[in-house]
Amino acid sequence: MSEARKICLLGDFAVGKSSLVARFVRNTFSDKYLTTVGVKVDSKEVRLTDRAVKLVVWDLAGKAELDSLNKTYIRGAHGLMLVVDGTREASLRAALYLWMQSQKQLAQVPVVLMINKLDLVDRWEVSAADIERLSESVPTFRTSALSGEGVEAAFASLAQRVTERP
Amino acid sequence: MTKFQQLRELLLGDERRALERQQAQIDALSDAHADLAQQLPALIEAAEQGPAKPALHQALSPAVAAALDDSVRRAPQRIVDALFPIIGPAIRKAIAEALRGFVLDINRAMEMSFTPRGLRWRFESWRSGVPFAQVVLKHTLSYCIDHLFLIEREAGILLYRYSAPELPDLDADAIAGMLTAIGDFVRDSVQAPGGGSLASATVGEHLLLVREGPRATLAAFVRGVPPAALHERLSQKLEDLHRGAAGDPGFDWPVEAARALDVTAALVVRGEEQRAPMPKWPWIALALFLAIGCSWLIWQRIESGREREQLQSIVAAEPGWRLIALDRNGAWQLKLLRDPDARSVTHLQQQFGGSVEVDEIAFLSLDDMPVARRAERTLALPATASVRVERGVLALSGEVDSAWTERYLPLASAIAGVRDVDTRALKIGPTARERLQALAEDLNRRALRFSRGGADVDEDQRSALVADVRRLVEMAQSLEVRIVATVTGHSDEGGSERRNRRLRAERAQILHDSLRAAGVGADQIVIAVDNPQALAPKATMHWEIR
Repeated sequence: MSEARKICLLGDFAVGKSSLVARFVRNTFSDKYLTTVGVKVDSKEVRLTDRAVKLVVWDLAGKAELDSLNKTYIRGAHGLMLVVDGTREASLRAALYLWMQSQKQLAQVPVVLMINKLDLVDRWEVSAADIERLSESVPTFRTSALSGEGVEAAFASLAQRVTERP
Repeated sequence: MTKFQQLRELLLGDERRALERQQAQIDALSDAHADLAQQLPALIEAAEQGPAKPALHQALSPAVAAALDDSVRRAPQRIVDALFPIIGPAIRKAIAEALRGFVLDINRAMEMSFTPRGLRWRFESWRSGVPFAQVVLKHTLSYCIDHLFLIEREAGILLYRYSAPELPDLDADAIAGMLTAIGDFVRDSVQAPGGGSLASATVGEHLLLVREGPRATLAAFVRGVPPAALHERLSQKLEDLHRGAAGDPGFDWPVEAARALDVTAALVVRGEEQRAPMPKWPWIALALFLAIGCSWLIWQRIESGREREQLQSIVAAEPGWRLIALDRNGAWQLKLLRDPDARSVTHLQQQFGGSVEVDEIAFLSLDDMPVARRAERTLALPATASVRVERGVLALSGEVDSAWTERYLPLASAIAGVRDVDTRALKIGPTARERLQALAEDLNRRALRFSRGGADVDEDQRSALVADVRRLVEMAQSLEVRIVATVTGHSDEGGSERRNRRLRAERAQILHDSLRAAGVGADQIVIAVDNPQALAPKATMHWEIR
């Protein structure tokens, strides 16, 4: 059995988290859990250069802030994936706020930022300058759930980083 | 320094310095003792974090135990007050678990009580003397653990997994995560005081059992109906794992779980009482019962059909009967047209017992038999004649008198069902009165002959005469006419007149007595006045029909 790591996807509603997960993993459970339980869990084994790691991906229902249930869900996470809709600048602020909120529980866990909807790049509100500044403090990937571009790389990066932690 | 002081220094200087050093040490110890109370918590905390931790535990254990023991003896109420918030929920939880298991068993027993299987188990309980609840438990211990997950409580990461080998693979990590999330969701939704949690759920034939510990959760997907003991066993295994982890910072959960729960899984699977294949005899008995039932129904139907045909043929063969309806509602119910001159239905009811009910409607039949009876009844045929009807032709035969012929023969062709009348075989004879008259005249010509000179008579002759007279009497009675006989005695030429007179009287009396013997009434016989004319030794009679 390969090592398992818990990854939580955080982001505002409609930023494309579930689509990204669908691109990345084999869906075991229905999306209806997102609207009922508020989370959907899937897993995928990622092959790194020296080992394999199983990412258990907790896709939390999109919200601008963490409520008490979501705080329970992110408990014990080994890594966070912040998802932003490139066409909505507000979703970037929401993602950063979610990150800040999660810091109270998850100090120093690896984080990866995904600027999604690369297929609509001409309508992006998030500026390239902001992305450059963000990438200095957090690994940032431009992704498209539609084409799959950047998705595998983002997850692989996070997988690498979570396995480096004890 | 004075000389005295110099001298004292020389003599006692070393001792004084030693005393000062000791005093300094005493002062230092006193200072240290005074600060110990403030420093003790920090010192213990430092020892707890450092390598001296085991030694500290070892050193404190006897003292803490002794102090606790002393405190229990000296001030038990304080201990009770301190433990009350803990012990109360613990007791309640233990009782709730026990009651849950008990109720589960009772429910199972109740559910099984009124099913065929439950009745069979009741019989087994009665036969073996084992309580019914135990019998139910024995038979319901059929279960199988399909999946067993040990999940890290906080993150929902799968620590250990057992799945039955025959089952298809599944994403155990995702399931472990979802189970954790759903458990959190339920706990957050219910917000039960004291940290309630999802303990079990039922999905189809699967029962999900969840046992939560502080650091790990044990979830089992069970197929079948597990006993309450399985709940306890899972809890016990989880507690064992936590106990091992509590004293060992390097506790390897996956390895230890594999060791502990593999055994559990194996035990559970081996402990599963394989569901015994259903015995064949109930099916055989059911099939036999159905076969007998079907055979009986078929036989009933055949028998019913046979009886129906029999009834129909009997009714069809009976002249003067016509069947309108034939139904069976318990008994056979016939609706029948019947000619009043046809046979009654009594013989039919006698043949079929009480299973035949007949509703009769009268009608006139043209069948030969009822037409013949109607003719007999209408024509008042004498015993000497008879009728026969064939295809509507009324054939009269025998002998009738002219009076009957005049009165009844014209009616024959008017009888319903008679198309023609055949009288070729019918003889028309004298009337009864004529026959009576003829017989009377015959008797008038006859005489009862006696021996010469005596009153002796031949008995054969007398008997023949009495028989003929009796026939005359009967004919007169049937015709309702009165007949009267005048009797006369006679004598021949020999003998004296006196003797002859006596012989005539004796001979007349003998004939009188003979007529009486033939049934002639005394008022119907008259003895004539003596006739002295010599004729022959005899007695004669003369009948008159009035």
